[in-house]
Amino acid sequence: MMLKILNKAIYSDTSHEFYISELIGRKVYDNYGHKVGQVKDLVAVWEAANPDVVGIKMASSTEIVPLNLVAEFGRQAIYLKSRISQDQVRRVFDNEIFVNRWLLDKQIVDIRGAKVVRVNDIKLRWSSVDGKISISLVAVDIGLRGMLRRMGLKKLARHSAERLLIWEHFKPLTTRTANLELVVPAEYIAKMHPADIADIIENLDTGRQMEVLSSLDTDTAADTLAEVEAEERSQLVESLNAEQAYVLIEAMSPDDAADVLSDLPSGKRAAILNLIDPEFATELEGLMQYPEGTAGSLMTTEFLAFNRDTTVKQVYIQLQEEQPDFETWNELFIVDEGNCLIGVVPLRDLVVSPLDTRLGDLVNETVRLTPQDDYGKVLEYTVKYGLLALPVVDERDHLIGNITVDDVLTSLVEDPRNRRRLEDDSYLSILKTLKK
Amino acid sequence: MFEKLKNKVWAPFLVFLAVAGPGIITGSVDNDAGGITTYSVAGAHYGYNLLWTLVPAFLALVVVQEMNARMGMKTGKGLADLIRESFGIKIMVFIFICLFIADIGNTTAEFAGVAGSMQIFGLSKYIVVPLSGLVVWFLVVKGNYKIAEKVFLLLSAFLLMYVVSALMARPDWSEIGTAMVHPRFYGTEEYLGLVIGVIGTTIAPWMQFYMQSAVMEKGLSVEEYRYEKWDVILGGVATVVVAFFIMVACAATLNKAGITINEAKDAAAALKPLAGSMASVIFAVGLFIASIFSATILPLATAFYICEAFGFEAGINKTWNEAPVFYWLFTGIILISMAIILIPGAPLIRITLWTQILNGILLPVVLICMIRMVNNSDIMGEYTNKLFSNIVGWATIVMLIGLTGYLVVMPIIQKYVH
Repeated sequence: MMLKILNKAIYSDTSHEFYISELIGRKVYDNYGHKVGQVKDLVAVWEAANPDVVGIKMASSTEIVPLNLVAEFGRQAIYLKSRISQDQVRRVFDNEIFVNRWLLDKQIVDIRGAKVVRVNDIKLRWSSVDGKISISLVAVDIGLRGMLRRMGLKKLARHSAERLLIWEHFKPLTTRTANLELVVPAEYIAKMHPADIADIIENLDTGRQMEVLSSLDTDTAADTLAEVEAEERSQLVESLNAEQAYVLIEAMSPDDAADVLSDLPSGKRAAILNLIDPEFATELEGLMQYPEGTAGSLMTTEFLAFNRDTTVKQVYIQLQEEQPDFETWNELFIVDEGNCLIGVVPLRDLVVSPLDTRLGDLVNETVRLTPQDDYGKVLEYTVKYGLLALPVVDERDHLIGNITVDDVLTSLVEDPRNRRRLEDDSYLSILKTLKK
Repeated sequence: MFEKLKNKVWAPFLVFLAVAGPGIITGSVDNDAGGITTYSVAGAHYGYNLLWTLVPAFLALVVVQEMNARMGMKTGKGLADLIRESFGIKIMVFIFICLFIADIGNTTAEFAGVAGSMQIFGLSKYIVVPLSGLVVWFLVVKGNYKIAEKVFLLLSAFLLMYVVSALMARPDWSEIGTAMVHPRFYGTEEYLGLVIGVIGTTIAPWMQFYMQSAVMEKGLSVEEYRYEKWDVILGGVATVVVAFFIMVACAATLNKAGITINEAKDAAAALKPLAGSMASVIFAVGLFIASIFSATILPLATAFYICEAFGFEAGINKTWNEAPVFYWLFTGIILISMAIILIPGAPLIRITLWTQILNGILLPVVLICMIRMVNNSDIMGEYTNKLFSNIVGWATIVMLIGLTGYLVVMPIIQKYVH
């Protein structure tokens, strides 16, 4: 009798896959062929990529039968190696999860926390190597097929398409009521544009923001941080410690760095400034003086300035040696010995000129801004003179910085006042150029 | 944000204003086209003698909605989310199918109310219904929760115009007082049907889903629970006040004149010679607002439910791209309901009957799921039901199951026995 049952159960293969929905209610027999009970749930530990099943929860008891007591996992029934006694069963540990009760029907969310779909069924793999049985969770069924199977409509289920998500795509649960979260691989994020990464970051909670940010290299992280919306960004920087923050801020362009710093509480700002290279720190402190809405707050102190006697060839050599890595330098500024602004040489003019031409022969007259000028004037000059970079000078006409067209555009889009200004005729032209 | 207000005496009131919304809106939507019909018929046929039914209706409404609010605030999940996670896929699919069909029927009834009320003004339903559908659609699809909630609250306030309509009918207050304390009971089938109707119309299955999703979408947390409780109570009061005055308006006029009616729009028409054309217009406008209001909330609740159950993104605050299923469902339900109304000779009475039956089957399932979850400490933590809530809650459920059971079985018996 006993042998007969066992023979029926034994498979020629040493592994097969099944669904949790098929397993629930399956009968369990001991080695004498006596029915022990019915399967209520599986208990698993989720520490590796795939959760491993460690025991079976029976319908009749609060305790679990450890997996090592199982001899055979059959399609019709489960057979144990021996009779079970009280000292072989055990309680559920804190790190263990109920597969049926907790994971089934769970909400699956993407990296931004947006709801995607629910867990309709769970696929598991049973395998037996040298008599050692293991069962692991391999995939989540999110398709109609899983749903129909759960409904008991097996025939219909067979005709519908299967949609599986393998378990490696999920992050381990933080709490058991938490949603099941899809992971986006770090190498995928690193390839995205910083502005896109910033969009993702804005939608994450602080803990996850850190995770994403620290998975990036310093330059990408700095660029990303610069793109994050101001309010979100200052919260993010506040939760970094000063050592982490200064590395990122040093990698930013001065105008972005000043923006980030000026949003911080003074204590935190001082702590970060202390760590930053003193020369850069002084520069930033200077930039931070200018109130929001002025040309000073828009300008960056990174620019290329040359003497009027410099030749085109010398400029080439110098640029190739220094390889300036700051954002934009479409205009070269020409200054005299006292650093007073004379004019600009657009990069275009430089490139098409013979190598021995003096910059003084190429220089164009230019308008100039002071740090106290407001956004309106910045916009007006940008549009009117079609410059890619506007020089900013102090009261003695000394060149102290420049405002690049990309920063003008950003401020234009972000500032609601400017958005309204756009309605104005003189600004409508900008919009039209933008649309082209 | 609330911390800064702490020191002021009126701070709690401000917080309440910020939190209030879901309860008042859900309560007000009870007084939909079907509800107004029930109250009008009750007042017209039995005078003030059915006013007492509003007391148990109020209790039941507040108890059930408070549980919804508490669950939504504690878990941050919708009712359908919780039912799927706690009871699995079979119950979920059962509710999904019933609710989807029933809510198309319900929404159709609301558009019928829109058409009926505008008939009073001689406007064709072929103009009014598509136009209303368009307005409803724009509000939800193009608006966000904040805007939509403000519009909904405004509509709730507009329903109070029934008070004016009733006062114009010059009711006899001493008679109302007597009827409230010593109502006359009738043994007729219609009387019993109306008792059930008044209480039953107050608690519909889809409302529970809307209530909880609204709490969730508003982002209310459990710290704001005591304010939200007042929102629920105020919602109950508003509902009952409106119902009370509809009954009074019809009792003071139609009942005295011995006029019988079948629909809310009949009441509006009959009021004209009895209480003046102004009272009639107010009554009809009230019906219009109530209908269009519910025609918005019903498809919303259904779209919420289905998306939550299957795990799709949902909410008025989401864009069409973020929650396509949600918006397609909402749009689809409105389109189907409008189409049914506009098809000449559509079997509206049979649709209403079957909708009522489906609602009746659904309600006990939803309520029992609710009370079991609200008692589950895995879900509710320290916010499980107290003994008192459980007693009142179960009493409400048993009463509602009995009543709706009767409401479901009676028409079937009537149909096949006679």
